[in-house]
Amino acid sequence: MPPSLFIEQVLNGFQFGLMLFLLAAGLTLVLGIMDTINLAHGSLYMIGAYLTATLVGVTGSFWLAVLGAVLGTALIGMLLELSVLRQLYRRDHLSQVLATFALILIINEVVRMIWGSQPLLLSTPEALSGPVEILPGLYYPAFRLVIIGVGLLVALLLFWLVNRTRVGMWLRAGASNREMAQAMGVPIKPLFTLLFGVGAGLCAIAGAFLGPILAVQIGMGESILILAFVVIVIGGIGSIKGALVGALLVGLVDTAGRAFLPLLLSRVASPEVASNLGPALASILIYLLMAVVLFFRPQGLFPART
Amino acid sequence: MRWIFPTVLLGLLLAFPPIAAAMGLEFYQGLLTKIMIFALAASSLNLILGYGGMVSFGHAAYFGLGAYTVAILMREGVTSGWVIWAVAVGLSALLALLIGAISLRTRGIYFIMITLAFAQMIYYLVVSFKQYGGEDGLRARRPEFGLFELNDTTLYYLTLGVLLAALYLLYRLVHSRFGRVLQAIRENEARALALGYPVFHFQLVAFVLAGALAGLAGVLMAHYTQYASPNLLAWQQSGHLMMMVILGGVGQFWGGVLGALVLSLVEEILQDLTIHWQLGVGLILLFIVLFAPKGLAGLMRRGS
Amino acid sequence: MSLLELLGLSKQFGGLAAVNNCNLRIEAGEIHALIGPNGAGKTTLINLIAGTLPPSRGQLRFQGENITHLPAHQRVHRGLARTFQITNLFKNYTVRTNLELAVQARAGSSFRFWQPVAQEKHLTEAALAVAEQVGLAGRFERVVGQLSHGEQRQLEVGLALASRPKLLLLDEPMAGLGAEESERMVALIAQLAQHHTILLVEHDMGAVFRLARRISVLVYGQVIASGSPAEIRANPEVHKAYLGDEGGAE
Repeated sequence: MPPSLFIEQVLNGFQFGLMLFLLAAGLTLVLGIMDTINLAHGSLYMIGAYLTATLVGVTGSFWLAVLGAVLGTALIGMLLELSVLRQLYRRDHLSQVLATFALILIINEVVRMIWGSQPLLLSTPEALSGPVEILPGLYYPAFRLVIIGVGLLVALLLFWLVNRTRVGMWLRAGASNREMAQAMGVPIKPLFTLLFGVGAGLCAIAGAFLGPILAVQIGMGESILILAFVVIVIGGIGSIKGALVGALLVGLVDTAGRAFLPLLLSRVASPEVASNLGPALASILIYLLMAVVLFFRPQGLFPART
Repeated sequence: MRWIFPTVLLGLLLAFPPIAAAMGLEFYQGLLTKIMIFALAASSLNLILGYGGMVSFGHAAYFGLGAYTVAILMREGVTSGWVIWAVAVGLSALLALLIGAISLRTRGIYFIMITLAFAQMIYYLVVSFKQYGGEDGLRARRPEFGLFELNDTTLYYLTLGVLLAALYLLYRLVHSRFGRVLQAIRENEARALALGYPVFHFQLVAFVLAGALAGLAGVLMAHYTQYASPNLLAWQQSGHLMMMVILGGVGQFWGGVLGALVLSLVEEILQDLTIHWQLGVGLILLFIVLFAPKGLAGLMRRGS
Repeated sequence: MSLLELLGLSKQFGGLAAVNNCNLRIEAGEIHALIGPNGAGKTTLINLIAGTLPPSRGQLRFQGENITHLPAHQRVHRGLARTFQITNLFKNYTVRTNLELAVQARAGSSFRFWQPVAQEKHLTEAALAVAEQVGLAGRFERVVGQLSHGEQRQLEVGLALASRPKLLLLDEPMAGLGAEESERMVALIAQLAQHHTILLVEHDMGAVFRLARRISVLVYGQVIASGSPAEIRANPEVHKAYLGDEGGAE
């Protein structure tokens, strides 16, 4: 296998992992602090992508569109929190799963009513559409490099927010002991609304940047939502650090598995078996990873509660 | 007087196919068959979800596995209905044993997520085998049963018989010693353990039984549509079954049946009215969860 | 041979040793009280004996058998039953169902899937007998959530009793009880002691010195003294541990 292919796949995995982190960060805080499962988190990712695609058409600028989509999705996220999710904090997990499953159905249909059933076209910005030579002889799409840059930047910003600011201190206190945080006078209700807005904004960033690579269509949020859940279960619910480690792990394992597993299998098995089993194994690799992690560490790699 | 209503209902169900044929309402015979299949699947989920308190988010795995077993065995030349049933139910039970044995070590959100993850594994495994249809699904011809020919009408009666037998079994089960312990574990696991009950074994037995029944429902579904669809394995299908259980009433004996009936009818009606029928389903589900958490069975109980 | 023996039992939580190289013998027929300041590791010790927690080191022997690695539910069948410091009952069920469940756990297999359990008269009879023993016969059909705190504590003992244990582990049975209720609980324990061996963890020193035949004192996860109530009263080590603690706390 040529080393350039290897480097390319690692970068792809890294890039996918960072986008997964943006989705998982909001999800893990909501789950860790409010003990609330929000399946509709993936729908916010979809909304972000749709808003970006539409705003690109209106403004003509990808970056303006991203900004607008992030603000718009954050607003929608906060409205969702105020109207529905707030009712669910004290309910059991089953109710949360079903209510937010209902939200997925509702949001999917509303998106279908507004934008129609056909996938939307969201193309990479003109200036970034070409490849860049990152090492002598190794070309990599400029847009994917930008995704890595944006992902790293947002991740740093998030770590600063959680570890260095007052709001972040409240969040960490809430994740490790909710009752205590409340007793210490943390303004829980507005904090939760704000947190939802931030989480929705992060989803929109991921949606805007993955939209041109994957596809902007109804249901796009659901498969990636399950990946995000795998990420936070591996990382440990409520832990931002766990979400980052888990996301990079899942991104790398998933990408590498799809790229290399069929190749590896073809060396040890017949081509027929390899072409069948390779993709099958690759697609279940991250679920195996999760089962193994949970088997040895039932609370994930970095449990937030002790 | 309590037996009058069930007897009349059973009589109507038995008499329905000839009446439907006479009046040209075959469509409704098919709809009833589908509802009864979902009633079986939802009731099996209700056993672990409602009575056992185990929020399994992967019930589609057994449902879909049952259907795919029919399709694959028929394709490979196994045409005996009885053999296919036995293999399908056995495989579903085995899968549930495997998934349960690992998942039941975890609790809460982790349990929900790991059951979901296992179901996703099965989904991706099945769709990645191109010779079994991949994402297009696989045709499932109807097998031979020897005693009768499987057509739409005999399938209707067969489904009715299986559903009644399964409900009777579940009824005996939840009122037996085993059923009482299963519910006690749901109420207070630490206490059940301190009383000397091997909690894990009770949960695992219920989990396997529910998986086997869901597999049987999947078999019937394959007979009904003559097709094994990846949609049967998808996580939305697990959500769909959970939706039926909560709609009908979690841990209420008729919850699964009632939920399957009402949700299927609502879907049918909304699909006639609008292409955006899922919006209606979502709104109704949201309303039920927020305002009637005990489901329709709970509402009816409160009303009477 | 002692009924229960703890040999060098230890439990670490991270770096903290909640129970540290603990040695203790419970003889058949006695009421053995376990006392000690808050945070001494008493409840951890009960959890180790009952099998709720696995020990980090050491051995547990019950009737001569090594039960260190036996799961909690199997210890119940060997004759070890516990109560909880914080009331732990089936709150939505009646007293009757609570006790029937406890009786059912020892009376034959519960992997019976077909016969209606409601028709098993002998379960009800055995449950009623236990209810009478703990003074709850008049509350038999009540839902537990509606009982007074004192009655719930009585049921807590009843659930342990229903498994016909050889050793009863009572974890602060007096917790949260008023004077009159405490009095009733002391009488109940004294009466149970006629037929059962009891390990009693309790803060109420009046009750402990009235009931116990032997007392062990746990401080920082170690047994610092073991003996008759008179010996414990006279022990300078115990005085130091208690006065130091109480002097600081009150």
